[in-house]
Amino acid sequence: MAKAPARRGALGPQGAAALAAAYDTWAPQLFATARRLIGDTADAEECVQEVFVKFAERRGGLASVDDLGAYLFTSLRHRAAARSRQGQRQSALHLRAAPAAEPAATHPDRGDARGLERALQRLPLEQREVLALKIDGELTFAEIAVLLGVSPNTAASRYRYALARLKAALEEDGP
Amino acid sequence: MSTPLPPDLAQLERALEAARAPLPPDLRARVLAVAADARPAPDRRLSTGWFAAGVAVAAAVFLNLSTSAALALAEPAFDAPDRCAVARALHEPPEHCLEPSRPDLSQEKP
Repeated sequence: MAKAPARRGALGPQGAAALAAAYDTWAPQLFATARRLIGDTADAEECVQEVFVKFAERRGGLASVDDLGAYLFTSLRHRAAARSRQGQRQSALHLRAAPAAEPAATHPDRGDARGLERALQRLPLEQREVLALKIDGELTFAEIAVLLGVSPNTAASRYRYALARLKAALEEDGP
Repeated sequence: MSTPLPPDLAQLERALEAARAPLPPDLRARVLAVAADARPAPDRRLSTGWFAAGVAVAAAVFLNLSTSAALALAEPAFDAPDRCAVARALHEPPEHCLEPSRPDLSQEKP
């Protein structure tokens, strides 16, 4: 059987192995973080895909990446923020076009995750980010602090504040 | 930072952890296939030569020099391929800048 011609721009075997290893290590946390930040599964999948495409494009430049996790999460943050803004604009347009009554949110303890999801999406991005990086990204406050360019104490305060605000939002929605 | 969360917030934290989105199993093959075809990102850094050319053109405007004279001043700062392009634009390029003649393929065996 004739050997297929090498695709122009395709990664070599070593590059493909590095890519697969990076995916297996980081994709679960990256996807969960993106899903929480954006609030949409399809958008989160695309976001993760873009992160790994950018990762693959760096090729030789990867040698200069000291902390792969920090690199991937930084890349994810930029993409998720862009998509989140885009989603908010589309959502606003949709609401203006067809205002529909949403079903009453229920408390997460009662098994309805949708109320939690809605309350999360109402948090400011800055707070949602810390929450997602901590819970879904499984990062420490020190790691989050490096990503956001703040002190670990600030990251921890934002996290606590986000939880408190989320709880208040859920209570406002009622059972 | 190490202060434990109050019970109500800790409970909410657990609810959030329980609602963590699982990674779709089909995403791996898709992402790896698309990423494996990604072309290397182009180097967008400005070369020293083009920066020098910018400065030279600005100087030319300021000193009322001709653009050719300004580029000629900046020419040594260019990397070899760019220097040849500038040399071709300004004057007779040096020999090493001339394109190699095409090999005569008619004599090659199939």
